[in-house]
Amino acid sequence: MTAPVLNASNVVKSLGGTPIIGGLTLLAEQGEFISVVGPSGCGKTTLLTCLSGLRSVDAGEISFEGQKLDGPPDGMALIFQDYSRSLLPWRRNVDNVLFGMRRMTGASAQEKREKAMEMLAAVGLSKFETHFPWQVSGGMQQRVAIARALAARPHLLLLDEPLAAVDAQTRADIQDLLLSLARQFQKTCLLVTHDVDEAIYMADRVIVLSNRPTRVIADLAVPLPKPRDQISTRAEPEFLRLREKVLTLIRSMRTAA
Amino acid sequence: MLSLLRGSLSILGFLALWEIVARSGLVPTDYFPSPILVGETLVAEIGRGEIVSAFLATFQRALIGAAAASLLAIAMALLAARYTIVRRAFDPIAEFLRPLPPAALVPLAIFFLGLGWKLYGFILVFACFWPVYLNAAQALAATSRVQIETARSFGYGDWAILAHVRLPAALPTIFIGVRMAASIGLIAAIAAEMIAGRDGLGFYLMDAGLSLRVPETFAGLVAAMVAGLLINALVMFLRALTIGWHIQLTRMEAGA
Amino acid sequence: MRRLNVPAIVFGLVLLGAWELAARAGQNSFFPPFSTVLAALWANGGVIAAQIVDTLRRAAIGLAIAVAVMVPFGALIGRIRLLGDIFEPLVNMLRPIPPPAVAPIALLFAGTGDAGKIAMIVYTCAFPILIGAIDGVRANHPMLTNVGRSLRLSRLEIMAFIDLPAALPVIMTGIRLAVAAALLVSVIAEMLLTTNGIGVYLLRSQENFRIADGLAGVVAIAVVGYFVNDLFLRLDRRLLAWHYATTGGAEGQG
Ligand SMILES: Nc1ncnc2c1ncn2[C@@H]1O[C@H](COP(=O)(O)OP(=O)(O)OP(=O)(O)O)[C@@H](O)[C@H]1O
Ligand SMILES: [Mg+2]
Repeated sequence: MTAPVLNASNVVKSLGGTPIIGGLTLLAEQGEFISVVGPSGCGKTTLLTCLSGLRSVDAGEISFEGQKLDGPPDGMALIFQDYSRSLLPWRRNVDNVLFGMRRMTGASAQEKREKAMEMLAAVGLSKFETHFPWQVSGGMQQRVAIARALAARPHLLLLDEPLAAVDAQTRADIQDLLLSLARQFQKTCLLVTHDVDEAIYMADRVIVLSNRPTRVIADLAVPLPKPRDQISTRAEPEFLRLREKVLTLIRSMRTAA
Repeated sequence: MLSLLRGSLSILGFLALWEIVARSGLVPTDYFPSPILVGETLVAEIGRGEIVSAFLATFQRALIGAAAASLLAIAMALLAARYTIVRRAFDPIAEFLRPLPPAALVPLAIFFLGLGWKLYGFILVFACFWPVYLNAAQALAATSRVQIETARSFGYGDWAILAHVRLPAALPTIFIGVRMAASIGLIAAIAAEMIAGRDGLGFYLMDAGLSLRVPETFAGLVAAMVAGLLINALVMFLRALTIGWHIQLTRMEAGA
Repeated sequence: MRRLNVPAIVFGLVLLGAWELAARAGQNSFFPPFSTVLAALWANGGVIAAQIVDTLRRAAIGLAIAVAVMVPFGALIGRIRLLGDIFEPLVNMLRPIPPPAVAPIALLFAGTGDAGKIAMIVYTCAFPILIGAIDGVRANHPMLTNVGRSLRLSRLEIMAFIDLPAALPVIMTGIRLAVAAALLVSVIAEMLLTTNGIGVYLLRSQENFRIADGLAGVVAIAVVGYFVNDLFLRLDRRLLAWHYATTGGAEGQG
């Protein structure tokens, strides 16, 4: 039996004296797509920076592919909430994708460049390779960020509300794009989102977080057939049942807070 | 195009007004030569060559001084950005030395360094260092957290982040400092030449002024102005080469 | 109460210590140790202070004249299209002239007295202040002007109550640049149009090989420069507290 891709147990983290994460346990198996929902400000971004090794934890342990985490590891990529600022404005789109390929040693510059172009094509941006990120729309910027993350060839992709700032149509497009890419490249994904519908639509498993200091209060399997479809999936009785359940959980926390 | 036309119109008007005042006899012509006379003198002086070598000496000093100071200041700022202790140790001293007028150093510097290139090197580097250092240190410290964390998550170490993220992000602000350094370099060069008094535009101007060769003095002023325009144009050219993206981005934001 | 900055204190002491030891080892009267310079500062304190007062007085007068004339002038140029068309090309043409270069002309017209030196200082300070004022009023958000219109303010009232305060951050940046320049040119002017002031004191020290006295003068002007700069920084913070509160910190230095 192989080790789980990500194994966080009893993680505790405070920022500036405020307890943010209060004993959180989470397991991600190879190939799973997990959604994490929780009230705003509960510590979702903090959790992702811990899981990605950007921050150390105060107590508990996080291991990635069986290795205890100590700084950002190979094989993990993070897509930030603030995607437009995470792209480097002085690099053209293709060079931003190349920026994500630092760990890819052994490949020639030419090979790397070809790979970067390939990734941009995979997210549907072949015609915008030499544009600067600020010359393209928000949805396209998010696609560049996705291409950059995938170009790093991660086994695990962490996504922090990647679609919060784009319009509804673009959001649906990128949701399907992410699902098909995750399937095509067999990635394990952990998606943080505000949007309960999105969480269920995308995931094999939905994890609901509590208010600060946050921990897991529900872990729900999503037995919906794949591939998903924007119209039919969202109309399935199972989808609606899960949706009601998660919304009820979140509402109960709002009144508790 | 239209603004260029308007600009030359305004300058021509100014010169015409000056010409009229000079000819009207309202002011003594000895003190107030007409632009035409200044122009003729300038051409004659260029023919004699003295003003040309003065110009070249000054321009070369300002350019080398500002360039050397900028490189030094950027290197120092990178160190300060990488090691907090360097910044904490150096910044108060920078705050203290920065307002010291470089001209105050000239007399003693002449004593220690003589009248040659060492004098100009010291004065110019001292004068030009601070604006570049302060702008660079401040900008390097202000890199967006998201960009740094992105780089770290892709496996960039501290030095790599400095080179690939913080320095490029800081360049637009660094250029503000470099532009200041270039004009300060010219000021310091001319001031040092005036005080040290051996060659360069500063000496030329002082020499002409003190011997009451008024048209020559004005011609020297024009040469100094050309030096100022030229050195600024050079910096702006370099800026367009290195941070073209930023210029485009600002233009786009201004247009939007 | 601020925390002590230990690295800076250690670094400063090491520098001064190195100076002291190197000078003592050298035994060269042209390279006096720091303690000798301090003694010279103590002995000549009165003379140096009097000279610096002259230097500062002229710098302050020049700066004040430049502010009084150039802030309103810049606001007019920035606001009234026609004036902008006429004067901006001229400003852009004259701006690159390095200020010391006008010394001989100031000498011709105003002589070696206070007038010539102050004229140089005014000339030097004029450009950063003028450009700050022009850019400042231009950068104003048009909404603010519309608010003023809707309150039925006159054009002059809009300028005084809306344009100027809103432009103050940029104007203050120009003024702070001018402060440093005023001090610099005040010293240069004294050295060139010699009569009195710290510049003259420094020149005389060098001519008479009184190196320690000269260094004492340099130390004194550095201290004074630091406090003048600090004063304007505080003034800036005080006047523009609202600006820093809304933008979250100081930007751009020089
Ligand atoms: N350095 C800090 N010191 C103290 N508190 C902090 C610090 N950084 C963040 N916080 C607080 O920690 C909490 C969690 O922040 P975080 O950004 O992780 O939440 P989030 O769930 O991602 O929020 P959002 O839904 O807005 O994205 C917030 O309430 C925030 O105010
Ligand atoms: Mg967040």
